[in-house]
Amino acid sequence: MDVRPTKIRQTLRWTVQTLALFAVWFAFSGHTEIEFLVVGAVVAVLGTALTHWLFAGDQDPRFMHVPYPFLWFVRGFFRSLLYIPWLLWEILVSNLHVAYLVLHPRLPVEPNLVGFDTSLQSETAQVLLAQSITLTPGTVTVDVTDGRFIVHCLSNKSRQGMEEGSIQRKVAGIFGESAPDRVRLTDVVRVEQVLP
Amino acid sequence: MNVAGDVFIGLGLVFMVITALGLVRLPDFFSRVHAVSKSETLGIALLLLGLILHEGATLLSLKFALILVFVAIANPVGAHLLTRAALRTGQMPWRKEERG
Amino acid sequence: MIVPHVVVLAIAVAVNAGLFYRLLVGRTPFDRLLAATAIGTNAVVLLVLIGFVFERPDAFVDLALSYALLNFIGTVAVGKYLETRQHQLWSLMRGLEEEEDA
Repeated sequence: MDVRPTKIRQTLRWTVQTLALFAVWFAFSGHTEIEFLVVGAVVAVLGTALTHWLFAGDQDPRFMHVPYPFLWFVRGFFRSLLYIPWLLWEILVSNLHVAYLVLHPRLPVEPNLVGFDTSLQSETAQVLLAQSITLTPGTVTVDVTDGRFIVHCLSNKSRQGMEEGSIQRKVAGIFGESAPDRVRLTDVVRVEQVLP
Repeated sequence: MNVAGDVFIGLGLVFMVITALGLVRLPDFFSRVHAVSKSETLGIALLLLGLILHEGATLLSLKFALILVFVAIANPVGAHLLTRAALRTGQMPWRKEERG
Repeated sequence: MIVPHVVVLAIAVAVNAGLFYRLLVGRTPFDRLLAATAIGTNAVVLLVLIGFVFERPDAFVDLALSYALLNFIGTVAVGKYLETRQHQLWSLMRGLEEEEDA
């Protein structure tokens, strides 16, 4: 698919970004006097001129990717509607778990560092998986390089949770990808295993 | 509505206290990140949610909601960045076996 | 409101004391950085509450918002700096080892 920047694409991106910045300005200032609006418009255009390259995914080779089809977004939206309540519930559970560990007088933590390879292909899915892992019971994503995740688990219970790989299956469901039933974890004990 | 807001604010404070306790008690940097990335995010989210419930639908509530969303995104990302930097500088997490 | 804002504010300040302990004692620079981030995130809430205590929440919430943004940028900047510096060190060491092997 041709993703080179056309005149229409660039104009559209500028317009959308300027309008979004102006909307944020309007929401924050809350004034409708003409002076405020003029200053807001000038700042919005200035902000767009300074930062539009950040969103130029089709210009900069660093951000090059094949754009998703439109139907993909529709399906993903409805699937993420199911995902968000589950994530909120997991956040609550994870906080109670951490609270239990911290408040327990003997501090029953068994930290360990594990690595695993994800089956998710798209970078968006990997980012969502990393954020979800950080917010769910007793695990923090430490590093993601080329689909290899390094995760710090606070207790054995959270390690087992990672092994079941339920988060990965949920994320894969949103993006229409496949995920294995069990995740094979490898222990990371030496520094040499993680150096770039 | 006011009671619900107070309950949320109280729970938020509890989680903030847990964050501080965790930061003091947990054995190493990597475990302390758990306290900051989870408990603190939830604590602040609950506190701001309580304030939103008190405030009702105003411009102020919108700004609280914006702070909430931003903190919820930025806190895990910051924690992730710090742990990665720590790991790449050669720190390894504390393990239970090494204590004995 | 049943619980006055001042009480909430007092507890939130007390929480900061625990964080300052880690900031001052922390064994590694990352511990201190983590504590500094947590204090910064707490400061956002403190600013909002101070706004309520002074009965000018609309002015203070803007400060809180910009503080939240700046706090994140600060963490990212320092973390990135430490990582890059160490990265250069590793590659330098690796280069020296290769020279010895040769």
